[in-house]
Amino acid sequence: MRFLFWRRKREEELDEELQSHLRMATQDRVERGETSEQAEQFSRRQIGNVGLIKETTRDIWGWRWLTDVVQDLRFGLRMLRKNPGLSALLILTLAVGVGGTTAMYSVIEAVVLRPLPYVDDTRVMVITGENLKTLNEWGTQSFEILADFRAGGLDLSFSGSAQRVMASETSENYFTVFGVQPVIGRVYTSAEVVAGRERVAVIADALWRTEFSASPEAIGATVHLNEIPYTIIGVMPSRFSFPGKTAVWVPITKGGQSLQLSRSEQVDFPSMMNDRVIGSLRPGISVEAARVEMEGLRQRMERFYAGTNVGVTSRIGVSPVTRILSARYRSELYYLLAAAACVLLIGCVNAAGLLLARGAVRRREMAVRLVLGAGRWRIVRQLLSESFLLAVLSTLIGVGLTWIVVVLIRAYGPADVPRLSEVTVNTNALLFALGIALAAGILAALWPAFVSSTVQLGAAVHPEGPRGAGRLSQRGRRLLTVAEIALAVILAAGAGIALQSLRDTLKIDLNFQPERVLTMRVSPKLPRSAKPAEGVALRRRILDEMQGLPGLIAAGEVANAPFSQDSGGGWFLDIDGKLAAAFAEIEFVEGDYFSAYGLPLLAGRTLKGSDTDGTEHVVVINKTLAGLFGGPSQAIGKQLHVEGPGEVWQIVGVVPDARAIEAYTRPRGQVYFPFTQISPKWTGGDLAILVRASGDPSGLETEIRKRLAHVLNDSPVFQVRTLDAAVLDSVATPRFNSKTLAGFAGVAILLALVGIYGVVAFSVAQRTHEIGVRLALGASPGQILRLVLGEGMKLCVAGIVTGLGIVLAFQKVILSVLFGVKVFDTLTLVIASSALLSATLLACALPALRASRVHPTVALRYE
Amino acid sequence: MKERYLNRIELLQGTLDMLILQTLQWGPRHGYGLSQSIRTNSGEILKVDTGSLYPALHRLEKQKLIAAEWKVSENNQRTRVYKLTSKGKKQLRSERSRWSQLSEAIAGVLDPAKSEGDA
Repeated sequence: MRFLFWRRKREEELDEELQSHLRMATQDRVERGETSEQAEQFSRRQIGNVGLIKETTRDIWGWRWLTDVVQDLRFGLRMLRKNPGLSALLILTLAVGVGGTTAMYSVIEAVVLRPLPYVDDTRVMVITGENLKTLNEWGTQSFEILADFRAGGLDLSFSGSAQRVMASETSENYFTVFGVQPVIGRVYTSAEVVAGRERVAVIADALWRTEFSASPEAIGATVHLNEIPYTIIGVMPSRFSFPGKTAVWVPITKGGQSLQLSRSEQVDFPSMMNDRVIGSLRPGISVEAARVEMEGLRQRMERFYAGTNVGVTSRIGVSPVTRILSARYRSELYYLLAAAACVLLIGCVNAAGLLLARGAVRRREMAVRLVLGAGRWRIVRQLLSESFLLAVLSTLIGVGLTWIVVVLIRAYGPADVPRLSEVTVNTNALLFALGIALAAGILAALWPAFVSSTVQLGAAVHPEGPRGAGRLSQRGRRLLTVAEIALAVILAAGAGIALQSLRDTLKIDLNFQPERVLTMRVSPKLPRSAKPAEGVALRRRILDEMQGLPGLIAAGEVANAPFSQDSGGGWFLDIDGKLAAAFAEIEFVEGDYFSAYGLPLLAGRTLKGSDTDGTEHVVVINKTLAGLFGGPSQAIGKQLHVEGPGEVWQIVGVVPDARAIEAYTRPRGQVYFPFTQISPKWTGGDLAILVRASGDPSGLETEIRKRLAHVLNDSPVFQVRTLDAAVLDSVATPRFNSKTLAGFAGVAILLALVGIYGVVAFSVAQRTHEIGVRLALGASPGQILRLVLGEGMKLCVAGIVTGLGIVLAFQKVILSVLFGVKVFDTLTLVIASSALLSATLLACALPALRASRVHPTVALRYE
Repeated sequence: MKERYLNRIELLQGTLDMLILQTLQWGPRHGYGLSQSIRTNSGEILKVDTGSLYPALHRLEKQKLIAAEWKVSENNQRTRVYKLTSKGKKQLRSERSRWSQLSEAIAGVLDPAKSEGDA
């Protein structure tokens, strides 16, 4: 813009300069006695061709090519403005595609592709498997370092009230794996790890800033972790935080008492791996080689431990850290990207179709230009600059859309996807999408140019010429429309199936009533030396506080909060003298847990306050486990021997399977132990409270917090949510995915409709003459209406058939990738297709009506 | 070696540039004044074509050998006045020495006896 302004000024100045030259020359001559007329004439002749002088001078400025480009772009803008509706459609259609694709790619880049800032992804590996604590002792050639770590949540306080943070217990070489050095202070030594008595901690940058204002005095300060004092010895740089949002690292204790990290926290890691090993590969060792070595090692372990009761992992995995982090989300994110790419493709097809339609209209213009001597390259260049303008404008709007989508995803995306908050608009993706949009525009621009260059010039310029011609571009447009409808059908089918599977998931009978229940987690602190009875008393006191809450129906306690990241884990059960006959998940409960959760008794009785340490050991099991005994009523009175605490437990009650809908898992066996009969050694420090009320339970939160405050001595009450919300949260990711997919499908259908509308409207405009002839020859408006509608419907049906054909052909693949759906729902497809068909009818109705109302005399004269 | 390929246009162009620079050394001038000065000083022999003058002026300006400025002339007309820059002065010196070399060389070729006698 500034350039244009500047250039115009230069141009004016040159003109003025030459004018002043002319004036002065004339004046001199007049002074020498010539008449002013003569003088001026002579001077003019002497100065020569002013236009040529300017041209040569301009050449010296050296912007000739630029002015040409500017001219082209200006002309392009004029063409876009001449047809604002069409241009807006074109730009929006491309912008949506560019925006969607870029946003999805940006998400993938942040969640899946972007390496962690502190990790050399080719070398830092996570080794997965069970019971890997002894791995280091077996020796390995592939890894330079193998470090153990264990992550979870704990209460952290400096003085006053505690906060819930993520913590990791690690071996001393943990930081060496990542190659990170503390910003200040030091990391712990192997001596501190082995002893396990040195209570030292390394804190994260974020904590250092909030609690110490980044002051070096943090070193040596005391921090309480689960109420145990630790001395801070170092601060990690801000880029390092692993795993997840770890706030504090402490030495892992070998064999000694651990910090009792709660496993219910989100640690950005697949569950079922309590103790983890991370290692850095030796230079030159491939991941493959490491896998082979680890498998060999596993077999050696298996042989060594054969016949003992030491469990050896059945498989051992070696994966780059980043890959492990995103493993759960990768495939689904790629499907979403594919859906977005489909939308972009449809957008491009749309743009190409609309440009082709306009190209057909402008064939005559092109022919005239050619006849007047314009070079073909000049014409092509002009068409290209129009496409370029389109692509750039739509990319600009696309950037805006991307930005909005990214902000929305950051705000509303599922919370459990790691690093979703780090999503930023990805420049590479943007450039790529711009490239695609440009390519589509260029192709669409070149096609009419190509078509017009094959045209017999004479025929094209002739007034009757272009009307009959253009079959090539017309067929092209139709093909494009069919293709985009087919794409939209595929997307709609995919989205339909995803939504259907989500609906099915939410319809699963949970077997419990999640309505009007408030859940919250607390971490009551008891000294390690506390006797089991003290825990019992504390839990009783908490339950007692719940009494008298307005509208209270039942209050209960459970070790692991419902729908938290990890379940309580599982134990092997010995049944009827058969060792390890079954594996069951375990849970510890107290109070009216079953009523609060909404699990009705199927047989027997619930656990009671009178089941204490002194009385017979009793458990309640779920229906699935009762199946091993032949059913709920048969199970009552049977005995279990459990792997953990040993001892024999009498089954006194059976409840339905409280299903977690998350992983579409089959219900597993479950044993509920009374808190009162089991040692704190097994239950851990976690506790969740469930309160069922007659009204909205959310209103109770303040009152409950108030009542708990003096029982819990300021230790935090956290993760307060209704059971409903917990259930929904557990399917947040599939819900988000399905909705996004549905969104893409909706946009795709909309774009496809725009495409049909464009094609039909243009064909009507082009055929106005023909329609006039038909009307003049006695065709009724109704017949014209049918003619035009028929054309649109033909395209639509062809597209739907093609799309459905593809869906059915790839049925197996689509089913396997789409969120575990097993049954192909024909109803979804039928609904999607008929919706598309009726929408097409609407899209065609407008141009069809316009065509049927054409006045024959107007139409015949139409040019 | 290079001098051998000096073609006519280059020579003329270079010469015009040099003449412009040389004329401007006596003070700032506008385009018309320049062409008049060159004509008078060459005894009416060199007539500068307007079609070459202005492109040359703009080229020299682009090369920052001269600088332009709008001024109001004695009879109240806005004119574009050019003056020599320090870079232009340097350029003029080197072109003048090149020119004298060249003209000596040409004179030598045209009048061998005289140049031998000089040597």
